[in-house]
Amino acid sequence: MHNTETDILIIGGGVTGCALAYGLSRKNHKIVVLDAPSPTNMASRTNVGLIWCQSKFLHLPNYAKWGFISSNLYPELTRELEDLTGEHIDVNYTGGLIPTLSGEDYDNRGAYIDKLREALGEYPGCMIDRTELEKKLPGIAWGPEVCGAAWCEADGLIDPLGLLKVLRLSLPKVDVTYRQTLAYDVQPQNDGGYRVTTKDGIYTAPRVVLAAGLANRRLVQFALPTLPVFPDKGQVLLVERMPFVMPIPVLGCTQTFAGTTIIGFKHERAGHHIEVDPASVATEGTWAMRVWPELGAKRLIRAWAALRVMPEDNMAIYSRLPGHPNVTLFNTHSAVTMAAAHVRLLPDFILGRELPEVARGMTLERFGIAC
Amino acid sequence: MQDRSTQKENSLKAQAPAPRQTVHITFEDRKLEVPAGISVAAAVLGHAHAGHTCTNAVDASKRAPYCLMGVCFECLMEINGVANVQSCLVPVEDGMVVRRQDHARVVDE
Amino acid sequence: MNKNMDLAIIGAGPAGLACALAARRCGLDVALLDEQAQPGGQLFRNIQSPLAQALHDARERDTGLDLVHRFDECGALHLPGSTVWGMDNHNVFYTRDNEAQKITASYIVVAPGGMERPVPFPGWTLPGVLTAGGADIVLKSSGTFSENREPVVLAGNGPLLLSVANHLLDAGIPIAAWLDTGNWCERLLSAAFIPASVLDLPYLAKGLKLFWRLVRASVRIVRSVTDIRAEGGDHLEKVRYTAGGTEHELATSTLIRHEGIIPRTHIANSLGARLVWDKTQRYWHPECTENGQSSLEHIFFVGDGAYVHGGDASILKGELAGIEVARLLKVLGSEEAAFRSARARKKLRIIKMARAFLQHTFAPRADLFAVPDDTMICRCECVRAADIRKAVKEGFLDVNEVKRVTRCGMGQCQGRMCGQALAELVAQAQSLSPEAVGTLHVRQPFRPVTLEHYCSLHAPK
Repeated sequence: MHNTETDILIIGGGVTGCALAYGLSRKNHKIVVLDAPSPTNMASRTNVGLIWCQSKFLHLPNYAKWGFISSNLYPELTRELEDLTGEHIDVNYTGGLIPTLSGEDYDNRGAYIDKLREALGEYPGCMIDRTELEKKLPGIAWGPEVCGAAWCEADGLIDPLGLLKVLRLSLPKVDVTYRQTLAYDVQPQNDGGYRVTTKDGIYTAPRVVLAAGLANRRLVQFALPTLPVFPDKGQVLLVERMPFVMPIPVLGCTQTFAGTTIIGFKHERAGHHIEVDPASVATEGTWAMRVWPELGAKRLIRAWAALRVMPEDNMAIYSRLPGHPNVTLFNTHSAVTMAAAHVRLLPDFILGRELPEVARGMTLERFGIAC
Repeated sequence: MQDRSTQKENSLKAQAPAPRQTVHITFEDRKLEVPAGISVAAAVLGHAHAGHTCTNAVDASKRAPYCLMGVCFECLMEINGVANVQSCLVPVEDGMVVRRQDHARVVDE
Repeated sequence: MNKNMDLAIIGAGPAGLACALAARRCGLDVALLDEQAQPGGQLFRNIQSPLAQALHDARERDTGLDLVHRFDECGALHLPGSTVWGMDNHNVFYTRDNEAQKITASYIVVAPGGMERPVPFPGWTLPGVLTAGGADIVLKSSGTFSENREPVVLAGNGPLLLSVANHLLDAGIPIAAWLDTGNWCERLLSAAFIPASVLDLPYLAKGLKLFWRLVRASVRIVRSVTDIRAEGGDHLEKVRYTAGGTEHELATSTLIRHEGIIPRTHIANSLGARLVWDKTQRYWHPECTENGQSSLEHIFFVGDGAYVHGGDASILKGELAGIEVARLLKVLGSEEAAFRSARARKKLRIIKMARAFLQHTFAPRADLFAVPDDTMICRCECVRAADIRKAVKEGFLDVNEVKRVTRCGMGQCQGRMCGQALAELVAQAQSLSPEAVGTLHVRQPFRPVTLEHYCSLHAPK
C-alpha cells in the first residue's frame, strides 16, 4: 500500500473532474486525479454531447446565463486542447433546434423564450417556422406535423467521448497525475489535511475536490449526512448510421458525428435502477418518428439507460463543505455544456477565492446548509 | 415441402438424391438459377461468385459474407428493395431481386 | 399477440430441439423461436434437404433427421424465421413476418449455439476470406468458391476445419495447402488422449477417418505457421505466411480460416448472467449448473452456447434443461425428474470426459492475437490493432474504456467479431490475462430491429 502526498486531490475523472484538473494545472500545484475504473456509474460516458443553452432555466436566470458563458468560452478551449494533444475533436458550434409538432407547442415555446429573453436581458435565439427550419436542415424530410422550431445560436454538439478523451490526454501534458482507482472514503486529518483511502493505497492532500458525480453522496459523509443530489434516469435509443444530414443538432433525436442518431430526453426518478424500460423509451422513439419519419425504417442498434447527476433543484452545486473550507464539491447534470466555464472560471474557487458573480448562488447554502 | 415421412424414408435408404428444386433470383441484373432453400448469401457467394456484396460504411472498402450464420454483418444486401438485410439469414425465393449494399461514405474524416 | 408459455426456447439447433422434446414429453407448453426457416441449427442446417444430407455421415444424418422429425410431431409451437432481439426474465421480444411480437414464459432456455472464434489477421476483411463454417454453408448449398474451382487455402486449427477439408475433397475442389497454426496433427498422433477419448469411440473414429482421408489425398500440410496475411486489391489474390523461419506465398482466391468454436454469449452478457473464463480454450461461457440453469433463476443456457462440447452433448444438455424446467414448475417431482434424466446425465458425463482431450489437442495458441499493428480488429468501425495499443498506452486500460475512445465494438455486430480480440489485445498490452480486462458490455437489442417495430411493441397505444 503506497502513500501519495499531493497539493490537490481531485476525486472523479469524468468530464468535470478532468476539466477542473486541466483548469487548475496553470496554477502551479501538484495535482492528482483519481478516476474510478468501469463499471461504476459514469455519466460522462453515456452523454449525447449537446452544448445546450436554449429554452431552459427561466426559474434560474443565473444558471441560464452560466450556460451561455460556457458556450462562449468553448471554441477557444477545444482549439487549445486540440493543439495540446494533437487530437481532433468533433464539434459543431452551429446552434441548436427544438422542433415543435403543433401550433400550441410552437406558441408555448415562443412564450417561454420571450420570458427568458426578458429575464436574461438578451437571448440569441427565436422561434422559426417550418420554411426556415427546412432551410437550416435541408437534408431532413420533416414529418407533416412539424410546424417550426425553437432556434438558438449558442447551442452546439461535441463528441462527448472525444471531449473526455482529449481532456484525459491533456492531463499528462500539463503535469497532472491521473490514476485509475476507486476512492473508498475521505477523512479529515489533525493537520487540517485529508486522507483518501483507495483500492490501491492512501492519498493525502491539504485540498480535496469532489467531482465524483453520484459517488459524491458517499464521499461527503465525513462532513454532511445528506447531499441534495439524486440519480436522474435517462434512456436512449441508438439508430443505425445514416448519411450525415444534421450539421445543426436537434434536441431529442440528435445525429452524432458518426452518423448514428440518439433518441431520448426523458427524466425519471427511479433510484439507481438502470435497466432499460422499453415502454418508456419507446414513447420517445414514437415522438422522434413524428419529427423525422425516415427513422422508422432504420435499425435500432442499441438501447441504454444511464443516470444523470441531478441536484434537487436542477441547478449545479459548486460549494465548499460545511466546516471544511479546503474541500470543494462539484455536482452538475450539464457537465458537457458547462465544461468550458469549469475550466476557465472555477479553479480560483477551489484555491479559496470566491465564485464568479453569476455562480454565487450555486453553493449548498440554498439548501440551508451553512458553508 | 415434401411429405415428411417420405423424406425420412429417403434419408434412411442410402443417399438417393431427390430431384433438386430450384428458384430464380436476380443479382445485380444477372439472372441466377439456384437450389431452393439456400440462403441469399450462399447463392450470391457460391453460385454468382459475386466478389463483394457490400461496402463498409466507414472506409468504403469492399466486403463479402464472412461467417454466413448471422454474426458478422458483412453480408448486408438490398433484398426486394429493403436495405441492409442480413442476407445469410434469408432463404432465396423465386423472383427475388438482390443488390449489393453500397453504403455511401457518411463519416466526415 | 401475447402468448403465455411454460417454456420459451431460443434456437432450433440440437440443444433447443432436444430441450423442446424433453419438455413436451413432460407435458409442458413449449414455444421454440429460431431465426432460420428450418429447424436444425448450424449442425443440422437444412437437414431435410438431400443437398445437406449428402455432407453428413450416416450416423449424424440419422440423428439430425430423427431429432427434427420428432420435433415436428411433438406439438411445440414452432416460430421459425423469428429474429429475437430482446429478452428479460420472462419475455422474449422478436420480429417475425415483419411484425414485432412478444412471448411470455415462466422459464426461458437459450440455445444460441457456438460460433467460430474470430481471429483477426491482416487482410481478413477481403472478399475471398471466410470462416470454415461459412465455407461449409456455401458447400452445403452446393456452391463453389470460383467459376473454375480454383484451389483454396485452409488455415488454422480445429476439428471443423478437418471436416470442411473433407467436404472440399467431396466437392472436387482442390486444396492448395493447409496452414496449421496449432500443431494439432502432432497432438492428434500422440497417444496421450487415448484413454479418455475411447469413451466416445464413434467420435474418435470419425476424426481419424477424416484425417487419413487428407493424408491419402496428399493434402499439403504446413506445420507451425505464423504471420498469416491475406493480400489483394478488391478481392483476395494471395496468402503470405511464415513457416520454418521463412516467409512463403501462395496465390489463391479463397482462404478459409478457422480457430475453433466458442460459445455465443451475447444474450447471456446482455442479461448480466455470470460468465466464466476458460483458460485452455480462452473463451467466456455462462456459469451454469449441469442442467443449464444460469446465475439468473429463470434463464437456462444449453448446447454449445453454454460450453462447446459438440452436437451429441448439446442434445443431452437440452434434454436435461427441459426436464429440470418441468421439475421447477412442479410438473414433475424430484424423483421422477431424476429418473427421467438419469440416462442423459450419465452419457453427458462420459462425453465431457472424452472431449477433454480435444480441448488440449485443438487449444488455441496464446499468441494467436499477437497480430501486426495494421490488422483491422473491428471490421464494422475499421479500428486497427495500432489504435487499440495506442489507447492502452494513453492510459485507457479497460476494454470498455478502449471501446469508447476507439469505437472498437460499437458497430452493428455489437462486438461479436472483435470483442475477443479487443480483450486479448488490451490484456497483452498490459501483460494481463484477458480474464482481468473483462468483456464488452452488450446492450439490447441484441439484433437490429427497426425503430418502428421496437416502438410498435413497446409504446403505449
